Amino acid sequence: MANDEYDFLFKVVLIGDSGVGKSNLLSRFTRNEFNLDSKSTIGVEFATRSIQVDSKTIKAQIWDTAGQERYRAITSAYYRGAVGALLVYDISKGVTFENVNRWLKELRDHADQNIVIMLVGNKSDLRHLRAVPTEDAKKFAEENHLSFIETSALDATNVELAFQNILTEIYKIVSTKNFDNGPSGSTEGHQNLSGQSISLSQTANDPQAKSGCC
Amino acid sequence: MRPLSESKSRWEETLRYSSKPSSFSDLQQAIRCHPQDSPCLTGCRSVCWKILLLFRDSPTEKWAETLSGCRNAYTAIYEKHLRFIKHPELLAELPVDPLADDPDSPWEVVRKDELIRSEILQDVQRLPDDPLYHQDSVQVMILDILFLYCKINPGVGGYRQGMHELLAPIVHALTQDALDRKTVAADDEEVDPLMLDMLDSAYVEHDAYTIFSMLMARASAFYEVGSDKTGEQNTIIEKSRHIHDELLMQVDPELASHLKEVEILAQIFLIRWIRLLFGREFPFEQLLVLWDTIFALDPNLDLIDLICVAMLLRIRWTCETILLSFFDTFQVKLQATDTKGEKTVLESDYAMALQLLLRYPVPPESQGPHTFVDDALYLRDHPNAAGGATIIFKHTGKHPLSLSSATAAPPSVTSPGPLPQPPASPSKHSGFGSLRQRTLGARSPLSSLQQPGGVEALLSGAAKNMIERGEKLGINQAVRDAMGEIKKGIQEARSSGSRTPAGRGSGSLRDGYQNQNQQVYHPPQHTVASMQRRNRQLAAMLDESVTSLKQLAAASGLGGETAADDKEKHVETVELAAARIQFVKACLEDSSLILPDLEESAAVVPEREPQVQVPSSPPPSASAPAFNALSLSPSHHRGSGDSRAPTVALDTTPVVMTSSVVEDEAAEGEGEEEGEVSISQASTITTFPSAPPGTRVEADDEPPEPPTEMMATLHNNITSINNKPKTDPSSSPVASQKLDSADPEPPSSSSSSSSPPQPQPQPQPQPESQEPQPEPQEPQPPTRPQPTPPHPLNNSPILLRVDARTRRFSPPTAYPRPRLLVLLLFIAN
Repeated sequence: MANDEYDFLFKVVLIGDSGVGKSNLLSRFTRNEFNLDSKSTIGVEFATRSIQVDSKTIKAQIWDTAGQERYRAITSAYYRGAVGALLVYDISKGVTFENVNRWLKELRDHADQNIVIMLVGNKSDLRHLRAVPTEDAKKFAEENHLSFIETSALDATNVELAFQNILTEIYKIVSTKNFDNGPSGSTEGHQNLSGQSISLSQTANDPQAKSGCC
Repeated sequence: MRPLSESKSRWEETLRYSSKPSSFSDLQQAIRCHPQDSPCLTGCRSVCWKILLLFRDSPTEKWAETLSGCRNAYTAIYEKHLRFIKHPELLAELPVDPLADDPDSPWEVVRKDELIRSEILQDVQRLPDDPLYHQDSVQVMILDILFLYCKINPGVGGYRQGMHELLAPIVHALTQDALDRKTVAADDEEVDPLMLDMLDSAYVEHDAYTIFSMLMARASAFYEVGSDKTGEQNTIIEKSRHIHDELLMQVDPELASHLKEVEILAQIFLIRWIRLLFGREFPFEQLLVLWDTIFALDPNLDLIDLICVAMLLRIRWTCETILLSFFDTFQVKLQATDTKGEKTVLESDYAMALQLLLRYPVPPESQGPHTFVDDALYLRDHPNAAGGATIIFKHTGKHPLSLSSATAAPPSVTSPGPLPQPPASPSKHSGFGSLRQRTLGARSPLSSLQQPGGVEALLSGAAKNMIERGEKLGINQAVRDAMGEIKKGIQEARSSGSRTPAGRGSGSLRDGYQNQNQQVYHPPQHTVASMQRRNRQLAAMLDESVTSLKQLAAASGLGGETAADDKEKHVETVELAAARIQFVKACLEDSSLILPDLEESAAVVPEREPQVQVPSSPPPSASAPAFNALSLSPSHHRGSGDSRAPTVALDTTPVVMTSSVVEDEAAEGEGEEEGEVSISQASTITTFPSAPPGTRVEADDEPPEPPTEMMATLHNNITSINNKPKTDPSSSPVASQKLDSADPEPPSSSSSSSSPPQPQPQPQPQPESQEPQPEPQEPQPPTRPQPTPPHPLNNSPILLRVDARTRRFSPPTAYPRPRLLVLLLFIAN
């Protein structure tokens, strides 16, 4: 929309194994919709939503892609410019949690090194089928300096919070960086009317800012 | 399953085209010429697909043999690879240690296979909504076929997401046609044994595997991934690059460059388009027809790339609008910002354009996706900008190059020279760079009103206002109907420039192209000047509507305690504004309609303008403007004869209309308009895309057919307004107040009639064509609305009459109480 002005534009990617609920997290957050029989994502889907953080309007451009592990034809385009990643697994499927490491490696290989990563255990409504204990995931997240949250796109638990948290985290890094005032920071910190897109390339990596939002 | 009788007739229908004395090419031809009435629809689609992909031109007698071979092969691989999975108990009987550390042990193989199957099943369970796909037996069938395909074709690299949606329509077609042998036998009827063999329900799975394998022989390339180690590009990326950088660049360099400018990687949307053979881009029934056409004309899927290009061309105006208008919106801000700022703007374009490409607008029935194959064939034979221009023109009635050329053409510069034809290699595709220069130029406030784009923008602002107002008053639907008409009118006026019957519909591409060429006219300078004057007049009229609406807004904002009678006034004002806008619409549609002199209307109008009073202090007599005597029927006064402002003219008497017009209205109201509307709904912006600056201007020596009885009526709409239940009076002022406060500042541009505030144009950017800059190399007449085809007044709600001789509006004499014609009266005097 032409008229939705924003202060910051953040690109956030959803990654994780096929069937963990990435698309439903996206639709829950951007349209408040959930579809039990949603079709598998082929290629890329894409949606936006703006939220307020510190009276700033942050527009999140959220990308969702096919989870199938071994055929990612669009890796570079997908990660380019992403400042945040929601790494999603399914709490009822252990293997999707085991694959988190592979996804982290993929992020290291293809994404900006300062990308903010949040580990998301989705399908928390499936309590009776839980295969990944919350503690394990929390521990893993701490070890890897990731934020962590459990969500349910089905009953909407924590979905809003998850996106809010990661966007706030990115925002904090970006605004801190502006105070630091690197040569590029001065330009990017300038808030023009049409908003700005953010690159984290020169951001100081602050482990504290990245850990334990839960 | 179908009744046997229907199957029989369908079978005969299928054979009529595909067996002796007909031939394979007859079937191809039948599908190509009548895709929506082909044997695939009237006969057995599954048989057609078998012929097109498997039997090809082998004689009918060979079909059974070929098919039986394929079925046996499937049975064999099924037995080989699914034996233990379907019968795990057999595994236990094997003299093999289940825990043996041998990768070839049957136990190990089954474990791995089960992993593959669970991966496939995950997608099969997420097939589209068709109930068939969610029957357990069908899901198992699809799972088994995909699993076996992967086992038999290890080179493909295993199951890839998307394959399931290529297989599903095949299973669908086969299941539709299937016949149960036992049921047929019980019927005791004579049946063609070949039919029974071809449609045997026991072999749906076998045949689906066969057809799927034939399809995948080509489509599997779309799923290949290059190995990371070798750095080898994978096919789909390379294909996407080829489509964008080579094919699209050849046929529509302008669009290709713009997509590049905003860094839209074609692979992002092309992956899904291509891998699913467009399965998610169109409604299922349309998709099947598209597949019929592809299988008939292009079983090797060589045309897929060009089909993608054709799809891009069909929505290129919407794409362009998004890309260009965004730039226009932000350009003012950009002046003050650095390159980082520009980057941001491009990101916005990116999101919008990508949304459009990821949600391709549903084509109208008449121009279903199968027509992309025709376009692709044409582009294959004409792989250049001229070919692209032809396709764009054919479907949109607009010429791609006009975008840049007319933008640059000043209204005052005219040249008798012909427009350059679409060059073979147009060097002049304007990237954002050139646009930037153009749009950053000083903007004359007047210029936006002199151009049709300006008028359209004003209309859009007014329309938006009216709709919002209508919501508050509870008359939204009726007003929205009217606004829809206006929008449609605008679109027509905009696009009718070079639209000809031959250029649309069924006319050949060549015809369309020739017509287009013939339509390049260069009106003399005085025509241009008069057009400008005309536009100013129209703008002034809109101005009045806006003033009324503003007053209305003020009224409803202040009058917290107002009651129903004020609402009547609101309705009246809204109706008046609607009528005025309708009039402007009609004028935009038919530029041959003569307006009264500007001075005259400017002088006259204010006197006749209904004075909408602030409801908190309404001097009752003052709110009855002069025209009310004419326009109001006492019987329609809500109040029992008191002196408060009467409602506008809600005449329930049927309006006199010529029957031909009525019919035309009905016809026009449906049909292809839907397509335009649906496309425009893809994005709010698209409602008012860049005015095609290339809108061809009909020379005055070829005036449009004079509509001797141009009539339509606001009657229905107004009646429905009147019949609408009133909204809660208490809510409306509050809501309106809120609305007012939300009203944006008046735009910087002001009309030639200076006084009242302009309607706020849509927040969306103005079409960049408003700002023609001199560009002598490519002089072009200013744009103006195209005279409409003979019956342009599709549901136009207000009653207009046009004197055939004078080309002036006049109040219809047959109309008993011309209450609805307030506007027309003062204009037509």
